Order: sequence, then C-alpha cells, then structure tokens
Amino acid sequence: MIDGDAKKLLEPFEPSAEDPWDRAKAAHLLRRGGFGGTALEIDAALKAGPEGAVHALAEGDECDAYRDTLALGDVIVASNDLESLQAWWLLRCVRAGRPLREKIALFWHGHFATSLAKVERARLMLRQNRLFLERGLGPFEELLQAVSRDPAMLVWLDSNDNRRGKPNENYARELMELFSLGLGNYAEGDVKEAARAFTGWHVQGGEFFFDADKHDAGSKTVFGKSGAWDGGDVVAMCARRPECAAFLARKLFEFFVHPEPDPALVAALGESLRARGLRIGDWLASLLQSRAFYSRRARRAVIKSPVDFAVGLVRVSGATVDGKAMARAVASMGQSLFAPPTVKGWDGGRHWISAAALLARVNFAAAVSRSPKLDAFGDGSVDALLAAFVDGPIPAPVRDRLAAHVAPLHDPDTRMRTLIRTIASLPESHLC
Amino acid sequence: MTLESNGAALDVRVPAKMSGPASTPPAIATPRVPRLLGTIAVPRDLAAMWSARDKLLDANALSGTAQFNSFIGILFAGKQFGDDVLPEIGPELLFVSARQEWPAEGPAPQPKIPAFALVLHLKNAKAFGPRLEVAFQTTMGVINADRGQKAKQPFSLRTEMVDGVDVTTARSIEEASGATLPMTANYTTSIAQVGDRFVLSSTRALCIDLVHAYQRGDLDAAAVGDRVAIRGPVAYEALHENEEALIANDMLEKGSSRLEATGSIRALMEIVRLFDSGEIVRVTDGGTTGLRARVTLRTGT
Repeated sequence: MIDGDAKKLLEPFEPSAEDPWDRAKAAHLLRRGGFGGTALEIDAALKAGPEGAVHALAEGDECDAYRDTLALGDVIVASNDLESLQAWWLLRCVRAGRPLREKIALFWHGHFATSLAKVERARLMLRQNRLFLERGLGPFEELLQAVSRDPAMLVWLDSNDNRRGKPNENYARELMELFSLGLGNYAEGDVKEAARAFTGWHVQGGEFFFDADKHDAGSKTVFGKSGAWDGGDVVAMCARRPECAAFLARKLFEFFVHPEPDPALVAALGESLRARGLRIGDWLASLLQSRAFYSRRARRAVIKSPVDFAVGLVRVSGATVDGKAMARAVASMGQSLFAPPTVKGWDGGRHWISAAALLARVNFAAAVSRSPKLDAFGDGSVDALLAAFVDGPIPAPVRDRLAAHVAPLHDPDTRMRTLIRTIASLPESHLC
Repeated sequence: MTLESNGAALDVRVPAKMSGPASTPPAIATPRVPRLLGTIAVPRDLAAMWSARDKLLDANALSGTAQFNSFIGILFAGKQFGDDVLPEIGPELLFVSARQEWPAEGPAPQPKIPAFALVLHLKNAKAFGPRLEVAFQTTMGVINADRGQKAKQPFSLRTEMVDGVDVTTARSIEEASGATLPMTANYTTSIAQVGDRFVLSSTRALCIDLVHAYQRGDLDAAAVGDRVAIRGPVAYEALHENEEALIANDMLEKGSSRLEATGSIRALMEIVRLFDSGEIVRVTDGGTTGLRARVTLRTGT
C-alpha cells in the first residue's frame, strides 16, 4: 500500500447509490463502537447517518437503568468481591446508551491492565475504572498522567518500592513498552533514568502520595534530554513522541477496525492521531466514519472478545440475566474483568477461541435463551434472527439446516429460543 | 397447625425407625446477649461423626479431611483430630448471632455483617481449654506469616480481662480510608473460655457479651433437641441497615431495575417486620420424628 492509498482509507465514508449507508453498515458500527444494536437502535443509526450514529455512540441519551447501575459502584466495592465488580461492569455495558464510552473503558482496561488479584482493594479498581470511563475519550496525555498517579496502577506496578537510590523500574518500563511507545522505541537507559523520575510516587491510605524524601531530584537524561525531571515530565515526553501516536493508533485500529493494518496505514493513522493532539474521542469518531472502517477487510475481521460476545447477546436479545452468573461465564470464556492475566492484558484475537472457551460461549447462549424475558425479532423467522445476531450472510446450506432444525417447532417462543442458542453457536456469531 | 391470637404453630411428624441405643440429647441453654439475632442449637457427637466420615462424605470431601487432619496436627502439637481433639468436645454445640452496633456518626463497613459465634462445651476444660487457646494463636501466626509473604497487613493479637475471663482478639491493622470501613472491619475474631464453655466469635463485642452472659448465668431455660430460633425485630434491623447492599445485590443477581429490586427487598423487610420471633425444633419421641415450628407476630400487627 502506498501512502496516498492509506490516507484515502482514512477519509470519511461517503454513502453512494452503489455503496449506501444501510442496515448492515449501521449494525457493523453498533457492534464495533458498542456491543451490538437492537432493531430499534439500528433503525435510529440508519436515520442518523454515519456521522450522527457515531456521535450518538458517545453522546446519546443515557437511560435510567444505566444511571442506576452506574450509581451502584460505591456499594458494590464495599464487599471487595471480584464477581460483583465484574457483574456491575457487564450490566453497565448491557444497559449503556453511550456504549462507546464503555467500549473505550474496556480498551483501556486491556491497555493499562491492572488486576484486583494484586491491588486487592476493589475501591481502587473502581476508581481506575471510573477514570477510563470519564476520561477514556479525552486527550491521551491527560489520561496517561492520571494513570501514572492512579493508586491501583501504583500498587500493581510496585511504585511504593521505587525510592531514591534504589529505583524500581516496573512502572517506567511498562510506561514505555506497553502504555505509550512499544518495544524498540526507547533505550534501556531511558527506562533506568525514567524510573528515577518516578521515585517517591507512592500510595498512602489508598491515595496518590508524593514522598519528597524518597524522590530523586537529581538530573536525569531521558530520550537524550537532561534535566531534573519528575514523573510528570517523563509522561509528557513519552506522550509527545511521534512513536506514541503510531503505537496507540495501531492498537486502537486493531481493536476497532481490523487486525494487522499495513505499515503505510499505521503511519497514516499515527499522523492523523498526532494531528488531532492525541484526542482519542475526536480521532476515534473520524476512524469510525472512515472508508477503512466500512471496507470489506474490516467486516467479520475481529473475533469477538468474551465481553463483546456475552454483552452483545444479552443486549440484542433483550434478555434479563443474573449479572454474577454472566461474570462467571465471561471469565470461563477467558476474560475475567478486573483480573487480566498479565500486565500485557489479554492477547485477544485467536487466543479467545479454545475448546473450553467455545463450550462456555455455547452454554452462556443456552442460558440467555432461557431468559424469562426476550425481545421479539421481526416475524420470528430464521432470517430475522440471523439478521439480528450475525454480521452478514451465512452460507445457504447452513441457513437451510437451521430452518430445518426449527421447522418442527410450532410454538413461536420455543422456536425463537431454539434459534437464539443455535445461531449463537455458529462460527459466524463469534466474528464481528 | 394451630392459629393463636398472636401467631401460629405447626407440628409435622412422621414415623421414624430408631436404631442404636436410645440416648437423650443434652439440653442446651441459650445465653441472653444484646441485639440477639438468632441461635442454632445442634446436639452432635462430633467424634462419632468424624469416625463415620467415610460413610457421610464423598471422596473429594474425604481427601479434604485428610489435609485438615494434618493441619490440625500442627495446631495441637501432633494430636490427632479424631482421636485426641474431638473427644474433648461435648455434644452441646451452639451457634449464636447478634447484630453489631456501629457509632451513629463514625465510619462503618458496608455491608454490616451480623456477628456470629460458636460455643463449645469442653469435657476437660482445665486441660483442653489452653490447648484451644494456643491453637487459635498458632492459626493467627500462620495467617500472619502468609499475609506477610503477600505484603498484606497482619492481624494484631491482644488479650484483655473481662469478668475474670481472658478474651483474646485478633484485629486487622488495615488503615481505614474515607467514611466507609473495609468489610474486614466486620470481623475482630475473638476467643474466650468461661468455665467449661469455649467461645469462638467473629467479633470481640459478641465474645464479651457471651462471657458476661455465661459468667452471670444470664441464660434462657435449657431445651432439648435441634433448634433454630430467630428474632424478628433484630432481623428487620439487620436487613434495614444493609438495604442498599441488598438492593445492589438484587440488581446484580436478577438483572432487575432499581425499582424492581427496591420493591422486592422492601417486601421482604415488611414480611420480617411482622414477626416478633420464630422457632423450629426437631422433635423425636414415641417412634416419630418431625418439626415443630412456631411464629409469634409482633403486637399490634
């Protein structure tokens, strides 16, 4: 791919007679920018057009059910129970009227992966989660500064062990390798010097605390620049390097659009993010309206994460679920929220799929199909349910076998429940 | 079933085939403690149950008992759980639960978990009581060593004299932040030996209240058989002070809206509010076995 082609891919998608803004594209947007849409939500997105639909994902109306669920945070964390915390977030995703905010919080949770297993205090995890939710679409440098002072992150990366004369490199290393620049874009010496800048950035009583006695106020040389830098200076230096924009843009593109973008496209993505001052929300809005986003390569290109799969299924079906059971199911699919496996978060992609994880997905779909309350899907036909749950067409023989499978079922309710769990077990249901 | 002016009684019996020598279960007296929520009295010969564990438990549970047995050996200086420890404990097992009191203005944990205690009867209190005390101290030592390895705050052990009895308490030294105490603040695990009674309590306050009750003989009349008793007004208060946590839990577990969850929790509270007390007793006599239940309504309801 040449640079000009890459830049064209980032231009806004312009609907035309040959390539119109249709239900399939609106549903694609709701799946990627959120967790999937009901028929009504797809109708609304279709009416709003590509720009209006993206705006609604981040700025649409929030319903009482979401606000009531969000308000439970402080009560939930009092029990310090991981499952309750997970259930709370999943139900928020199910009820969100501005799902892009929850989706970006999910992205940052994987990016700045922090686990209750080490942090131990759910209150600190809640605070970090609120940070991602409230500032996840804002300027990246501000987010990175806030994360660098976030008590959960400081506990997670042993910041209390980082003292003058005995620096602990954990945070400085992950700041460069995982949070802002990526491997190969900094030198070992930068990590060592940056670690000195973060000395004294501690946690005390669950709050960020700058311990001046433990801080190394001497001169440090980071990225070739010398000065009496502190942690905030190093964060700003990292965020302002061009490699940061490219690193972030690639990761966001792979999360929202498709994996393995061409190098020329990565360069163009980085340039465009940098041009927007690393304001994530602005840039993401343009990405979700881009030609790349609606290109053939982006369709069915992403394996749904367990959260995407489970939340999408519940949202689209209108099911009422036990949030804690849903949390257990999502964890058994391989994504234990608030407890990522390592500092690198979840590998994602093909790693989401294993025999055990697929079985957990199918079992969850069966549980959803038994929900006391489910929405109606058009005329209840095989095609209506396929349109609701699957991105794009499925092979005709598969569709025919589905139809044959439910043909003997005359009770419309039984037929719909059978179709939901059967469709959710199709390979196509795990792609978006 | 009998309807009474202030409640109802239900007596259900079925014929029972008795095996083994007839023996009268011991009578257990319930101590009167403030804010008493409920009691469970279960006369059981623990040593006999342990001997029959291969008939009572499945293979998984049995392998767990083997591990437990070896851990007990550490706590009791090489003693065997089944042969040396359990035979020291009499069959009068009593569980007591009481609502905790928190300062009106000060910080409190959420949820506020009621205190609970196990009261054991020791056959050779003078010899075995100190062994239980050491076992408790050793357990806290093991827990502290484990918490130290994980860089967690340890528990501090303190002993105080209450009514001439030593009360030993393990208290977390975790720092509180904000207006809410951590849930661990619900627990200040304590032990005390009062005569031939050994008290293991989830809180210091309940332990002290039990010490007072046993030392002063402030007990209800002893009764025979398995008994579960609950006090309605205290249960209502326990639900009331945890209403927000219960609503949140209902919303999470049922996926219900706040309105629905509030409705179902308040309905439960209103039902509990109707009752003054409730008791279920297992009755075995004359070749029959069964349950006798009695509920007393609050005056004026």
